[in-house]
Amino acid sequence: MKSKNIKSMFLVSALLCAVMVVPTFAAFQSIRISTTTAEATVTGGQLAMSIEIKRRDNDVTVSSLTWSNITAGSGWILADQYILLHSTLTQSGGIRIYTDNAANDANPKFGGSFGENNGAGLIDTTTNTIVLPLAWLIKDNKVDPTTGDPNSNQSWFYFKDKNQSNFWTTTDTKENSTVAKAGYGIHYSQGPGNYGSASSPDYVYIQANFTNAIGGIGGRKYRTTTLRIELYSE
Amino acid sequence: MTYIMWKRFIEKNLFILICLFFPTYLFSLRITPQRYEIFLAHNEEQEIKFYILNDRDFEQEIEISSRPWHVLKENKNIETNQWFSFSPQKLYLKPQEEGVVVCKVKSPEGAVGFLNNVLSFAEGYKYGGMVNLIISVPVYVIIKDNSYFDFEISSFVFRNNPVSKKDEFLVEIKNVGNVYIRPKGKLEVYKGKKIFYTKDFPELSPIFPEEKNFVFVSYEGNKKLSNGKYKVVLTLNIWDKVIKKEKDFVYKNGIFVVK
Repeated sequence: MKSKNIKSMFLVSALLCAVMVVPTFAAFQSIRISTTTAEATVTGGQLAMSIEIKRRDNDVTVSSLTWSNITAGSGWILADQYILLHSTLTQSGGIRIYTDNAANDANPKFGGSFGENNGAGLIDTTTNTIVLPLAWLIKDNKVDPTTGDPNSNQSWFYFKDKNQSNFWTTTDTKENSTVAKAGYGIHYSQGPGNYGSASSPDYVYIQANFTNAIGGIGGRKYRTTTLRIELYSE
Repeated sequence: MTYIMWKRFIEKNLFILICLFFPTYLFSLRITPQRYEIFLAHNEEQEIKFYILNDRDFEQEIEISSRPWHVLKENKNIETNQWFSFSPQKLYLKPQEEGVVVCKVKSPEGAVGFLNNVLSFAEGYKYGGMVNLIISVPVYVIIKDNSYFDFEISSFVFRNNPVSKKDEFLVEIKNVGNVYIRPKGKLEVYKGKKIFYTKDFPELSPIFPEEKNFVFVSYEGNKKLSNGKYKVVLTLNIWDKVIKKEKDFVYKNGIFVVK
């Protein structure tokens, strides 16, 4: 290899080093506020988000959330993975988590009536009116949480589904179920005041309730293909 | 490392270096700007643009959808298409290509307070066929003819935040105007007639008409709260307006109760 080429490659490698320092988590970005008005102008603000799905036992990055070796009727069980959530938020924004089990990309789609509280979670791939509830919990460190019923353990939040009639319409359906993070911190417990300042990244754990799961030969499969994580500005 | 050592290192490890230096991004989308807030009189209209940059290293489809976000009950009969439209609904963007979504907004006759719609940008990519990320940005039209801003103090709390472990005041306020409020301003707490604590706080998430939410103000003072009468004065800077409200509380056994 000629010396000139080596010099070029040296330069290229230096440039590549510069590329490497770009944070890999700034995946979702929204920059600048624009106000068109005669009375006031607002500028500034930046949003960014990305996720990594990692195994709880060894932190290896994988592509999906799974539950393995589950016995029917076994209650709330943690997913084998957690979601590492990288974000930078302005005060006027947040991150919400929900399923969208009637969307075009839902497979299967929920076959029942959503009402106010149905259809959120993992859908039975054989009988699409059966749903296993999901719940999420957000932390600022990686320690596997204790599973628990969100009705009694307020660190856990039931998933809502976007198609439920009360989705995002009341303080209750926002602050007790949907919003994982706001500009002023992570939502450590159900309720509108329960946010705590915590730096990114945050750790989102998911649990499913297998109490009403149906067993059988070969095992029954439950899934959602529409778990949405939405970064929003308000 | 000397130049010769660099030379040998690069000759042997160029492929590995390239792999290391180009980390695989799982998702990458940038939206500019973050939001629009437009003051319009009835029948005025305006065109606005959102820019979408595909940061990924492959071409991707971005699906754009719109939905109402916060709708004032007085505006329930106003259909979105009476005041908001956008185009296109899908974009196919190559790596580092930027697309544009053009929106047309207006203030229809009869609109009250404010109108609000959200544009959501969803990437086609899904983590494990299960999880996907969406970014949503709002458009607000504030009706010049009849908008007004007002709030009330509902409750007052002092606590040690269980996550940050820092002390803070929480002032719960109710929006009694007909436009959202982005709380930003100053908290003053008086013990009797003497100032106990004062602090400016930055802009927080909006509170919509008839909704209550908390204003978070960190406490960095040394004085301890003691049982007795307190006055809470909250001053909010809302656009070009300054609104000041106060309320009396009694502090007893760690809890503030409305006097």
